[in-house]
Amino acid sequence: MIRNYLKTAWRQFKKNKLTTGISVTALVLGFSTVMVLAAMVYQFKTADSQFAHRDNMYYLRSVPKEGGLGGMQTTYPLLGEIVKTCPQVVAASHYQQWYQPWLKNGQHEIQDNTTAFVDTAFLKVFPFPLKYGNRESALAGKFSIVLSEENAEKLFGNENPLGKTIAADDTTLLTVTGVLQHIPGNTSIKPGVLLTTAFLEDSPGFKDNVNWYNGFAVNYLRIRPGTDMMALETAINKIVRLNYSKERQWEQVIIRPFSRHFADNADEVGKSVVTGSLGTILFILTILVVNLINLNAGNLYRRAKEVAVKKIVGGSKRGIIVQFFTENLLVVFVSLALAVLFSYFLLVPFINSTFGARFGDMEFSLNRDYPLVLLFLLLAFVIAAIVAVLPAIRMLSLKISDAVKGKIVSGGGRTAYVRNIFITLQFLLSVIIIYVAIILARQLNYMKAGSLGFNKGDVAVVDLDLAFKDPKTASSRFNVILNKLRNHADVKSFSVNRFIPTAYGYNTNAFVDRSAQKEVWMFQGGADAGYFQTYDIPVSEGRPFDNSAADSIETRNVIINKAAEKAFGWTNAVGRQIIPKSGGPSYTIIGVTNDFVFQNFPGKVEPLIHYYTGKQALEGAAFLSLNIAKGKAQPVLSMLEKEFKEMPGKRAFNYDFISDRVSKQYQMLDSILKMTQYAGFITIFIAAIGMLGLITILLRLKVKEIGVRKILGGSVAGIATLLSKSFLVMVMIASVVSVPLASLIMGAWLQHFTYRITISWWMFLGGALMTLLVALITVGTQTIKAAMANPVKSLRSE
Amino acid sequence: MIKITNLEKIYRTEEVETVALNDLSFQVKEGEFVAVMGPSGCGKSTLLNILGLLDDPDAGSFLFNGVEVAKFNERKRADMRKKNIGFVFQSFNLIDELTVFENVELPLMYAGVKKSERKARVDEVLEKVQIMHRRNHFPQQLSGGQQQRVAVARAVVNKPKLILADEPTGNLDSSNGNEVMQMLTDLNEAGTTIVMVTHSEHDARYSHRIIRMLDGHTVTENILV
Ligand SMILES: Nc1ncnc2c1ncn2[C@@H]1O[C@H](COP(=O)(O)OP(=O)(O)OP(=O)(O)O)[C@@H](O)[C@H]1O
Ligand SMILES: [Mg+2]
Repeated sequence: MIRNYLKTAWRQFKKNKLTTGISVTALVLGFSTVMVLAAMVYQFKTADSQFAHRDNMYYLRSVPKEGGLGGMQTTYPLLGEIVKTCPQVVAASHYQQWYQPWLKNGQHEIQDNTTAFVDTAFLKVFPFPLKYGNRESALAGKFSIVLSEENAEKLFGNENPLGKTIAADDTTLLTVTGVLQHIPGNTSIKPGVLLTTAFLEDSPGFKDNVNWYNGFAVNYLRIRPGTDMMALETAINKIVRLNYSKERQWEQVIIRPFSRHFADNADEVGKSVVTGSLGTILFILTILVVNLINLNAGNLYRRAKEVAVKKIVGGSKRGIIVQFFTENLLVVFVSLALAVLFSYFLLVPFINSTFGARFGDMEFSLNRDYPLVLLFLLLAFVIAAIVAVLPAIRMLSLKISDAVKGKIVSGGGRTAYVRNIFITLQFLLSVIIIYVAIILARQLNYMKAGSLGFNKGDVAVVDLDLAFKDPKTASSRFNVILNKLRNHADVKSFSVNRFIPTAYGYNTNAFVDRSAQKEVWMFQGGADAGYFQTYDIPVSEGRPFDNSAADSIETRNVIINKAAEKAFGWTNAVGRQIIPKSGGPSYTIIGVTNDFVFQNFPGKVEPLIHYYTGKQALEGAAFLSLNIAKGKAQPVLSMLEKEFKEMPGKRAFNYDFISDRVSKQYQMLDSILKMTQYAGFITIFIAAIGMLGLITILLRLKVKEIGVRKILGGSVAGIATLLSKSFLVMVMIASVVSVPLASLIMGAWLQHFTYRITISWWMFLGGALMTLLVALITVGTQTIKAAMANPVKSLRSE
Repeated sequence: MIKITNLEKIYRTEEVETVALNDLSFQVKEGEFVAVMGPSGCGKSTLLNILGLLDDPDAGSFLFNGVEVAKFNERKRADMRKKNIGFVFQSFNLIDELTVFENVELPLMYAGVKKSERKARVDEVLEKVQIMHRRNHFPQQLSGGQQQRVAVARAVVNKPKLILADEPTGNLDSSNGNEVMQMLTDLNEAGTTIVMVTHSEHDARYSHRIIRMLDGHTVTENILV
């Protein structure tokens, strides 16, 4: 019997090449998109799940006593004290990112910005599998270095590097004691280089910061199973109360399950990508199912006779349902297989190139991701069942004596009504997607176009962090270059600084206004005399920093932004004194800048303070920013490149424009935009080809009617209009009904943004017209073709 | 074999009510060959649908082999149909996607007959209706007469006790029509009961008895044999 089902199915496909092709195309496009989105969500949800004892892994967070999630940083000495006094802690390690030494093995050099300094027990907390080396002893020696598989290959090729030495910054010899196996993309912690905290603690720049006030340490712990976590947290906070400096007593430390780590650290945009993906998945699946039901139902009109005859000669209802189910199951599974290929070779590389940096590259391994595979098999089964059984039941409920005459074909009454509802539903879904895509695109573009408060156009940024081979000579050469720039006719102004907009870092501190006993947290940055001028950031009150003032005086002066002024509750901040909460002498505010977006793209501008970084010099600077006259940038930059040749560094001379850096900040938004456009295109495409299939089926049923009308004198235009009218009416109904639905969805979504567009009627009008156009083209071409057919031929074919 | 009494069938659509069968009564004995005649719209096809258990009457009784089947549900009717009745239609009603052989094989498959036996029986009837050489063709590749022969073969392959034929020659020219009528006569002589609707007096003469209908009612019965 099953062979018989398959044979009939195959003949059906051959006979209905168009609708089968459409079903498969729609399914492949839809499934592949759904697969990739599902994999992305799954990867997000299963992040960090590869650690066998993950339930015993924890990390620390510092939170204000009032509550909230706070941040991951604690003081550095805390962990040592916890390990000493809390026996429940089986193993613990800092995960300290501080600086990235330049690592060298002969000709091969790397510098990895995922370099972390960790304690001896690190590999006990994180049981990363080792390719080479011994987990117990790998991080025991002060000068040990453990490399990722990828970095080991860069430095040593394919040989086993265990026991070999690496020069760090040309000064220290490190011994390779371990190589980590490849770490999956969705892991919170992906160190490329592991060094020891013992090594870090020796470096002077670090040691000076270790105390019970500065909070920069990230800590991971492995706790004995069955531990009373409340008691442990109390014990930890006892250490905090006992040791933390007075100024940091506002803080409390919580111990947080590592399973929450990934989600805790995902930002709002990332989370909204996950919710958006889930929504899109549901949407696409619904439209796929509706589309298939429509095509199936359409085909069943044609198959009414077949079904009736089978029943007359003794076929059972069950047999006929099984037949339809088999046919649909075949289509769905073939599509599923094609979709796997399609997403593997086309979509995943696309996703990795757009979202990879944020979510971790998408990787697939069967023994980890099999639940996803099972889910998809189940899904395929359910879809096949729904789309086969619904129309089949409808068909079987018809009276045999009518069906055998093909009476259903005329499709009057209830049947046509149900059919129209489903077709309208299909349009409805696609129109909603179009509306959503339009509004989303408007909002994202609005955020991108929004004023940043600084000149993002023409400022060139030259990298100064080049690891100069001879720092002394480089420094004096640099001063010569600066003098040239000062006298250069085309250089309007320049700045030598560690900060530029887009690169401020999360360095905050609390400041106190003594007179009002008011305290404000501010982001901290530095500026030289040319900084605000170079970036066209207006200093609306007071003055910018002054190069000619004595450094000893000017370094006691600071410049804040409007947001900070407002937070303190001042109307004019110039001349006021503030002191850091951590202690120390006071600073005088000499200027207030307009708010400019310095860190969060896009986002609210937070209070910000700038210190004076002193006379312009290479030391301590990271960027040379140049505001150059229009069209003159190239000659100036070539001149600089030549000058920099005189002061060789390990890295090559490199520059870009601030506008490039800004667009990099918008990469995530651009990715979301691309993804929405793709999903929107897919849904519309599915709807359009679904419509094409359906109209073709329905027209085939009307061949005789069309022929008769033509013989009786109907014109091509008249007949085509008659045939298309009902379709176009359905599109219009869908366009109108979906307006409130789409405004509801997008209205809620827009609430997440401080700066947002208002939804207006023309966005809907544009979407509706677009859908109507697509419908007009698909339906129009088919009906005109049908109306032009030779009536003699069409009547004979009956 | 068939005994119907006061049978009634009314079609109700939104606008009109059509009385298709009105207080109809007659009998058909086992082994009989009965022709039903009457003007278009008088209810012949409706009657045949009810006799074939494709449709149910609104009132009256229908005894099939002594069993009251008028109130049977769909499942029981399907079962009864499968075991006892074969159909031949004016428009052949072959399944386009199946070959000649597969069309004829279908009732046997639904009846759960084993594959080897199916093949033997299908070949036997195809031989009988002289269509063996076309067994692997699809219906559209055959002439009307050939298609109707296949339809007859399908109707008899299961050895039904009753064959219902609704204008079996309606779409055929006279020589093809005669061939089909000869086949039905042969079947009848071999013991199969036949009820046939026809517009042709010529075809009706193959039968034993003609029931003439008007407006859902029998008017006369002519006994030919
Ligand atoms: N499904 C139906 N719905 C409504 N009315 C019907 C239906 N089927 C048949 N009728 C009506 O019932 C009456 C009898 O129809 P039936 O098909 O039995 O006639 P007939 O004798 O077979 O005619 P013909 O010789 O033209 O085939 C007709 O008036 C017809 O219009
Ligand atoms: Mg009739």
